[in-house]
This record gives sequence, C-alpha cells and structure tokens, in this order.
Amino acid sequence: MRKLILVGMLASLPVVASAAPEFFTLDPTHTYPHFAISHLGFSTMDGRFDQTSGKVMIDRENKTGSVEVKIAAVSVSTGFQKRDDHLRSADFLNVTEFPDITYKSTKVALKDKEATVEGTLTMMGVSKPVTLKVSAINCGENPMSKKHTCGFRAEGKIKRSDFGIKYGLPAVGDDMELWFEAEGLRD
Amino acid sequence: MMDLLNNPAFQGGVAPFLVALVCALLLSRLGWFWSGLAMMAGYFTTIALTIGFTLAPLTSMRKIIVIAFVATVIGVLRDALASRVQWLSWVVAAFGAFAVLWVIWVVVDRTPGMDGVLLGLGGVAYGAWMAYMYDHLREHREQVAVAASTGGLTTGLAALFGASALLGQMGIGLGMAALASLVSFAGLRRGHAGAVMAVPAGVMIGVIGFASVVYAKLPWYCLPMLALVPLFGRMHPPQSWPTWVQTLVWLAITSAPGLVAVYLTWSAAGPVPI
Repeated sequence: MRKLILVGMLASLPVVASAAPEFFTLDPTHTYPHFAISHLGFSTMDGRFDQTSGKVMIDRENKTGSVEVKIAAVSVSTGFQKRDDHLRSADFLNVTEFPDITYKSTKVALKDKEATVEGTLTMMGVSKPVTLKVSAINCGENPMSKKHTCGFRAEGKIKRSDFGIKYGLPAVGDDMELWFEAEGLRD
Repeated sequence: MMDLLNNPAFQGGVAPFLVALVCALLLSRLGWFWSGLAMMAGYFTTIALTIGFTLAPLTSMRKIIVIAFVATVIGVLRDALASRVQWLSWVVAAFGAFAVLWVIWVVVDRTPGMDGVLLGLGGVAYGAWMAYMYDHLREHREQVAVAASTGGLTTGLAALFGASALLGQMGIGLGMAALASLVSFAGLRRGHAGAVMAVPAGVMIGVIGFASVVYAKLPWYCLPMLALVPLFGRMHPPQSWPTWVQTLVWLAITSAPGLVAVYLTWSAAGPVPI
C-alpha cells in the first residue's frame, strides 16, 4: 500500500511542476515586434523593431499569465535608413525624448495554445489600453540550446493618433497593425 | 478642402503667409504697436494645421507652442513697457536661453557627464544669442522682417533635410509669416515690427534650430551658420538705394549663411524622405 502511495505521489510530481506558473525571459534574437501602415493609400509599409526585451509568465492552472515588454524605439527599421531617421525624429516616435515603448498586461485569458491579453501600451508618453490576440503558443525543449522555450504570435491594432503621432495624417495611415513573433526562455 | 488643409506645403507655406499678410494689413491700421503680431498669427496658423494646440502630455514639440505664446507676450510687454531700456535685452536673451534648455532638458538630463553639460551650455548659448540678436533689430522693421524670413526659412529647410518635417514646417511657417510682414513693411510701407515681432522670431528660430539638432539630424556645425543670419541682418545697404533694392540686398546677405547651413545639412543627411 505504501509503495502504491509513493508511486502515486511520484507520478503526480510532473503534473504539479507543470501546473506551477512558469516564468520566461524574452529572447531578443527571436522576438521582433512588427508594424504595418498605409503609405499614402498606395501600399502598405512594413517595419519592425530590432531590440526588444521583456518577461512573460504563464499560469496554466489558473489559465492566466502576464506580459511585460520593452521596445527600444531607436531600433525601428524599415530597410531604408533615411526613412528610419524620419521615423525616429519628432515627427513620429521622437526616440530621443521617448526612448522606450512599453507594453504591460493587465489581464490575460489563456486557453490551450491561444490567449487574449489586455494591457497598456505606452508610447510617446501616452498610455492607452491595447488588446493582443495571442496564437500558436508552442512550448518545448529547444533542440539547440536544450532550454525550455515557448514561442507565440501576438496581434493587435492601434491608431497612432491616439498616441499623439499625427504627422502626415491622413495621407500616411492612422491605423497600424501590430504583430509580434516572440520566443521566451524559461528562467 | 481637407486635402488642401492637410497639404504640408499649404500648412507651412501658403497658409501662414496669407494669414500673416491679412493680419499685417489689418493690424497696421491699429497702430505700429500691434502690427508685429501678424508674424505670430501666421506662425500659429501653421501650428493649428499641424500638431494643434493640445498640450498634454507636454512633449518637447508642445513646449515649443507654449514658448511661442510666452515669447509673444514678452514681446508685447517689452514694447508696452520700455522698448528702449537696454537691460530688457538681457531679459529677452535669458528667456531665449531658458526656452532652448527647457525644450531639450529631457535629453540634457539623461546625457551623462560632460556631454550633457556641453549640450545644455550649447543650447543656452544658442538660444540667448538668437533672442538677443533679433531683439536688437526690433526698431528696424525691414531688418527684423528680413532676418526673421531668412532665419525661419533656412532653419526650417535645414530641419527638413535633417529628417524632421514637423520642425521644418515650424521654421518655414515662421519664415513665410515674416515674409508676409516684410511685404507689408517694405512693399506697402505699412506697420512696424517692434519687440512683438523680434522677440518671438529670435526665440523661436533659436528653439527650432537647436531642437532640430537634438530631436532630428541637423548637424551641430550648421548652428554657427544660422547664428550669423541676425548678425548679417544688421548690415546696412546704402540708404540712398530704393527700399525694395535695400530689401533684396538684405535678403541676399542674410540668406547666405542660412543657405550654407541648408547645404551642409543636405550634404550630411541627403534628400528629404518622402
């Protein structure tokens, strides 16, 4: 009987371990926030930020978690230096005055490999609520680094004018699509 | 109509010119004391059409709007109280220094060591110089209008090449509004500049120029060239020449250092991103 109880306890250990909240640090080499914006109504301009850091917590037992992301505004990149300089200037991101763009979750609803994240995006000194739809939460051991890794994709939309970025409106679009491809390494 | 109002050339060029011209003609009938306000009426038109008058959060760009209002009030007070009291020029210079420092303070505060100190001191020196030099021209309406036109236009063009269209529009808008005043002064022989025009012109051109270095990519070595504009504005063409010839000569003289600054910025930064 004692053996049976012992085996039962041992068998339950992995379950207990996986049910505990897991903490991840975003891998900056595999985490890139992207954006898309209309260029004069002719085409859609894509860009991304090359430097991102942050923390993610996943609590599968309570189907919740948390996200904190910091993006270096100066790392904006669209593949054309002159345009990037313009995006960094006071016309758009004003990176000298506002070097960081941050996102902090306020509520996370986790469901299998998907989640809905409500949070606050702070850009140019303005904080606004932004909801991100998270999909493709894939976790497992990274075959290269042997570290437990979770990857996911998050999508959302904002109006740049809500953050005081009004240059070029309405010719340069107000609506911005955002998407993050991200990976986090378990702490 | 909305397309026109959203056109950057209209916002920074046509609109401030027309508004300033109409205001100059109307205000000159009220007496010399008020006619200098026309330039700032044109400038605020550009502000209204671009970033608007929202002041929260108080970013560096919005601080520029506050400074424009305060500089205008100081100009009015300077004219009303004692335009000939010499020490008031130092008050104006001190305000010009404070204005630049306030706009760039967030960067100065964040820049460690001697770099931050030098940045702050550079801003103070440039702001004080520009405010003092323009204030010194206040009694000479054509001169202050010429220096404000070329100073605003060349600072704005340099900012535009330095990758900030917004600061570029602010400078060009101020220059175009001053140009409208110049048309009224030199062409129609109406109105007077006074400190109400000279003070905001010097303070704003100083702030926009230094902010373009800090918040855009205007090379710092363009600032000494732009600083020569009001100094060159003090040169007198022979007064025996017709007024319009004197005005054209003044425009050419004051444009020269400003255009060098524009060329240097263009050389360093390349064409305007569109």
